[in-house]
Amino acid sequence: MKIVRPEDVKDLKLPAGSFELVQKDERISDKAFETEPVTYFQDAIKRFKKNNASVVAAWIIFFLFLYAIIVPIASPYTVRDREAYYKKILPKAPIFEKLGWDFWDGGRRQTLNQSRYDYFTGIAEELAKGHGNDADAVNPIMKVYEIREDKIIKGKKETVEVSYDIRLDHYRKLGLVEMNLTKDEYNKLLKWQDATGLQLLYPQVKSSSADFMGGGSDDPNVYYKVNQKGVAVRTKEGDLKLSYATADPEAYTSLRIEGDPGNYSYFKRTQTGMTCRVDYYNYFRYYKSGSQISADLEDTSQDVYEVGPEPVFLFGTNQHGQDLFTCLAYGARFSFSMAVAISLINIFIGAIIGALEGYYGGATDMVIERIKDILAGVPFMVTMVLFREHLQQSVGIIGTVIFAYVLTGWIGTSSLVRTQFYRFKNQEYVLAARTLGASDKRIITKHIFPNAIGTIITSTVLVIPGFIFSESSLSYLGIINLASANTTSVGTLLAGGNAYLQQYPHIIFFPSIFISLLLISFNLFGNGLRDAFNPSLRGADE
Amino acid sequence: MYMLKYTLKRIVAMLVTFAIIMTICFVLVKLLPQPEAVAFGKDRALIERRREMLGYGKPIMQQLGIYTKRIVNHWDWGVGENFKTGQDVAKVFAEKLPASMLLNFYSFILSVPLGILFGIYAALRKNRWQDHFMSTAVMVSSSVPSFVYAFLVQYFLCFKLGWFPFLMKPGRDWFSWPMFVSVVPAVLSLSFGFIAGLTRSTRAELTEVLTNDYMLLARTKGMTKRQATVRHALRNAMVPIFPGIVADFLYMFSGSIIIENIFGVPGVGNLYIQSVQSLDYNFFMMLSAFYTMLGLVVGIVVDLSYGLIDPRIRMGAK
Repeated sequence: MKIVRPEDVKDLKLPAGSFELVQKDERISDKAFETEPVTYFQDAIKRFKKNNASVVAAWIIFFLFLYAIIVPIASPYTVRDREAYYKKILPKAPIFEKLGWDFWDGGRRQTLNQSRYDYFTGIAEELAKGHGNDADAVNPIMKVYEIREDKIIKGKKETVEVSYDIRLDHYRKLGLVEMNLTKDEYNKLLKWQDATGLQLLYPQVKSSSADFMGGGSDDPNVYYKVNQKGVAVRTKEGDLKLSYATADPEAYTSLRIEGDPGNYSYFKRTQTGMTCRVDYYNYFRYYKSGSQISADLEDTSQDVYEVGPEPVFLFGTNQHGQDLFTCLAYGARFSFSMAVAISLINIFIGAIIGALEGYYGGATDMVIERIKDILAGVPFMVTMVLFREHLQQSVGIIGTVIFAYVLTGWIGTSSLVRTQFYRFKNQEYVLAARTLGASDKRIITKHIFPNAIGTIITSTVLVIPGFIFSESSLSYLGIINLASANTTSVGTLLAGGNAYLQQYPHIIFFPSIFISLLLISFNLFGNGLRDAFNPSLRGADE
Repeated sequence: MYMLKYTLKRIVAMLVTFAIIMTICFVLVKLLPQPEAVAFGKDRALIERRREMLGYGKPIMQQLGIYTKRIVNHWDWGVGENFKTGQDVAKVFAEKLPASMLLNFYSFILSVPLGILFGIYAALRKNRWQDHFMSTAVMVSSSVPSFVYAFLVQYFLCFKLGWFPFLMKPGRDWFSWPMFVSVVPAVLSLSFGFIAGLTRSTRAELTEVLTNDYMLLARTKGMTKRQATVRHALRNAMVPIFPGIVADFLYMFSGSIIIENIFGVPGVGNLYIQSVQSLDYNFFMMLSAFYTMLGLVVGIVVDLSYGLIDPRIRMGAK
C-alpha cells in the first residue's frame, strides 16, 4: 500500500471549477427516519410473537375466556338447575354417539346379571310401545359385547349363570320414574303428549305383591312378573308377562301405548293430585321445551307446544345434577373476572404506595415497609377466615374475597415499583427534570414510573394464575363458599366430586383438566410476556 | 460478631411483628360473636362459669392480657369448645403434628435428591432435547396444582392399580410398613411440585455457574468434567439453592392443608380446617399463631442461611 504524504501532493494543481458545492441554498439538517419508529410495546410484541409456546398459550387463554363468557349466557342450563333424576350422568357428545365409537357417548361398559339385564330390556320393550319411539333409540342397552354362561355347581345341583357384557346408556337407563303431579300439571302433560305425539305417561302397574316375588315392586320399571331372583318370567313365545293395572276407559282419553286394550290405568289418585309413571327422557324434553300450556283441558287456544332438546350433558352432571359444562363456565367466569379485578386493584394500590415509598424513601419508606412486613406475615388463610366471619354478612362473599385478596395482594407490586424507583430516582435525567422545576408529581408519573411499566405488566399476568390457584384451593376446602352468590368455583366442583372418584371420575376429570390447562397457559403466557418486556431477564426462571 | 448482631436484630423484629399480628387476630376473633355454650360437659352453667373465669366479659385488651399470661405461664392455649370439646388445645395440636411432619418429611427426602439430580442432568445437557424435555416437564408440573396430582394418584395408583389405600391409615405407629404404604399417595402428590421447583432452580443456577471462567480453569488444570462439575460448579450453585431447601425443610411442620384433606391425614392442616368449619376460636388462634410463626421463622432462616453458606454475603449491610 502506498502512503500518500502531504509533500507528495504539494505540487498538485487542480483546475478551478472542477469542484462544485454540494448545496448552496438548502440547510443541512438530519434527515427524518424513513422507517416507522418502533415503540417499546411494539418491540415487546414482536419479541413475544417469536415465542411459539407463549402464543399458543395466549390463544388457549383466549378460547377459555370466550368459553367463560359465552357458555353461561348460551347454555340451556344454569348453576341453579339441579336435575332431580339425572345425577352423576356420564358425559356425552352427540357426535361420538352417532359415530358409535364407544367413547364419550353417555354410555359405559358394564357386566349385568340376568335380572339386571331383564330390567333394562324391560325398559326397552316398555318404551318401544310408546308413540313416536324408535325401538332401537330408546334401548338403554347400546351394544352387547358378549354373553357369558358360567356353570356353577352347588352340591349336586348344576346351574348356569348368564352374565351380559354390555354398554349401558346412562341417559336411558333411568327409564320410567314415578312422579307425583298436581292435577294442573297432569293436564298439561296430557295436552303436550297429544299435541306432540311423544308418549309421556305409561300405564300403572298392578300393586298385588304376588306378581313381584323378587322385590323391586316399588320400581316403576318392573311392570312384568319376576321370580324370586328378580329374573323376568316369560311366556313360551318369549314375551314378558305384563301386569298392568286396569281402570275405567273413560278416565283417560289421551295417548295410549301400543297393545293397550283400552282399559289400562294411567294414573293413581293421591291426596294432593296423582301419581304417574313417566318416561323421564321425554319428560325432560317436555319441561325444557318452554311450551306454554294452560291447565284447562278444553281450552287450547292460547297454547304453544314445543319439543325441547334431548338431554345432552357434554361434560356430564355432578352429584347435585348440575351440568358440569355450564358449572365450569360459571367457575371460569368467576375466576377470570375476579382475577382481573383484583389484580387491577392491586396494581393501582401497589403502584401508588410503591412510588411513594421509593421516591420519598427515609421515614415514609421505613414505616410502609414495616406495615408490609406485618401484613405479609399473616397467613392468607387466616385473613380469609377473619374477613369471611366479619364481612360476609354485610358485603357478600364476592366483596369478602376481593377485600381479602386486596389486603395483602398489593405488596408484591409495591415492592417491584419501589425497587424501580430506587434505581431511577437518582439518575441524571431525573436530576435534570428537577432542576428545570418539575414537581414531584410530574417526576414520579412522567419520568420514573414509565420505567416500571414492563415489570408491572408481567407481574400482573403472573399474579392471575396465583389467584386462580389459591381461590380454587380455598373453595375446595370450603373456606370460600360461592353458593350464596349463585355461582360456583372449580374448587367447589372438585371437592364435591372427590367422593365419586371411583365410579364417576368425569366429575373430577373435567374441572381438573380445565384448571390445569388454565394454570399452564397462564404461566407460559406470563413467562413469554416477561421475556418480551424485560429481555434482560430472559430465561431467569427456567 | 456481625452475624450475631444481625441475627438478634432480626429475631427481635420478628417477635414484634408476631406480637402485632397476634394482637390483631385476637381482637378480630374476640369481636366475633361467641358461639353459644352448649354441649360442654352437658352443663351450660359450667362452661359459662369457666368463660367468666377466663374473663370473657371483660374489655378485649384485658382479655388479651389474661390470654397472654396463661400462655406464657402455663402454655395454656385454652380448650376446644365446639369441636374436640373440652380438650386441651396445645395437647391436641401436639398429637396432630407427627402426621403432618411424617408426610412432609417423606416428601422432602424424596424430592430434594430427585430435584437436584434432574436439575444437574438438565444443566449438563443444556439446549439438547433432554434439556428441552425437562424444561417442558418442569413447566407443566409446576403449574398443575397439587390437588390435581392427588386425584390422578388416587384414581390410577389407588383405584385402578390398587397399590395403595385411598386414605392414610389411622393410628400412631408412624414408622410401621402399613403406615408407610398408606402415606405414599399423599407423599407423591405433594412431591411433584417440589421436584419441579427444585429442578428448575438447580438447572438455572448450574447453567450459570458452568459458564464461569474458573470452570475453564478447572478443566485446564486437568480435572475431568465430572470432577469439575461436582467440586466446583455444584458447590457454587448450591449457594442460592440451599436456602430454598431449608425453607422446604421448615415447611415440613406445616403440612399441606389440601393434600391432608384429600388423603385424610390426621395432621395440623386438617385440624385447622375443622377448627375453621366449626368456628372453634381457641384452636383457630393457636393454629394461626403456629402458621404465622412458621412463616416468619422461614423468612429469617432463609436470609441467614445465605450468609452462612457464603460468608461474602453480609446480610443487611449498607
